[in-house]
Amino acid sequence: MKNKNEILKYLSDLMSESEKEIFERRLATDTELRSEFDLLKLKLSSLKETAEIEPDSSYFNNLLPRSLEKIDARSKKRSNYLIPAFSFGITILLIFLLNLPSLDEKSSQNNFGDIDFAQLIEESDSEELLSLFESNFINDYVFYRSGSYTEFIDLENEDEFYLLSEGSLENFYYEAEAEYNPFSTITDEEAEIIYEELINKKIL
Amino acid sequence: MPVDTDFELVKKFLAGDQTAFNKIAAKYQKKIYWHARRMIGNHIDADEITQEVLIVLYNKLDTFNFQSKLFTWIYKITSTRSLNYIKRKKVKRFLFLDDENVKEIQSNSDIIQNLESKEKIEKLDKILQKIPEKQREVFIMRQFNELNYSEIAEITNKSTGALKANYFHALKKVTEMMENEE
Repeated sequence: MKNKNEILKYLSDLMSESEKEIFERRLATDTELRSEFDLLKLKLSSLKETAEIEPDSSYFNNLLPRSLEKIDARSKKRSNYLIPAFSFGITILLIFLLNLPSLDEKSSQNNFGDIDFAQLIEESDSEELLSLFESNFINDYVFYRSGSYTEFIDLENEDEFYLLSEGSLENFYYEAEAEYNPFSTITDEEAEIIYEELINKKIL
Repeated sequence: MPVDTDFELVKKFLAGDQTAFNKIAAKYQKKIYWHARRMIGNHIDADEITQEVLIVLYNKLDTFNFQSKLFTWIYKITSTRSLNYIKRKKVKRFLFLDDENVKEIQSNSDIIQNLESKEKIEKLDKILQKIPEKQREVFIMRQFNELNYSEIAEITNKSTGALKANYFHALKKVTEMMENEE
């Protein structure tokens, strides 16, 4: 087809008014251009025939009921989440209110800069260490010190090391899990960012 | 009996008339489905997107402010969902997380029963999948939905100049592919 680009420009409305006028005048007189133009139009209209194909009618009859069922299921799911979430919130609030005085004490303890941690471990028996661990105090401290365990752990004492490393590993495990298995919960926005990155780096 | 306009239907639905929503869905569900189907190229995913769009309509119709036409708003939702789906699919394919077995299931399930029609649709699906999605989007809206450039610009937030260029390239590729198949 000799005039294909020109015809496509005309069909895409990419021509200026004067170009359009010239093209239309040629279309009326140039038989070769006319036949190429008609052929292209015919091809494109054959694509449109697919729009007239009637699908299985039951599909569209059932589409809305299926969607409404989903809406219903989602709102039930949401309300099922709301009750435990509300109860959980109330419980947390009660615990917080009941422990208000002791929290004051703890908050002064959590000022890590003032604590000689090595001395604290040395003076605590394993039961006390366990309770410190369970209160996340040790883990907080581990992260506070950016993992410099050796400064306050007696590495020769396996029990202490076990308590600390297990807690830390547990935290690292959850962080790693979230970091390396994100695709099960990836959002449209996150997919968009990854997509743009891959496109920018010409990988996709 | 006079037919309700989109405006009246939305007002009735927001006032609690469920049948008004059924009428909106009945009016637009085919358009939503076929737009998604042509964008994505298979029935199963198009079905998923159509349902999602209907759910969004049901839940968000109260935010529709009538500053645009209802169909423009619906196309916008459908197109965005379809494009997001395509992006996710590409990323998954890149990370080898796309399930190859699904393709087999997808090719076996369709809402077109007639073999000849099914072949035509599959041929079109294949052609459309070979052109970049932005060009595909404009091509579908112009060729099948018969929207003009200013309507497409409203849906896609793009300039008409860019849309015209996209449509030109899409036309060129589609006609070339059709010629090669002959």
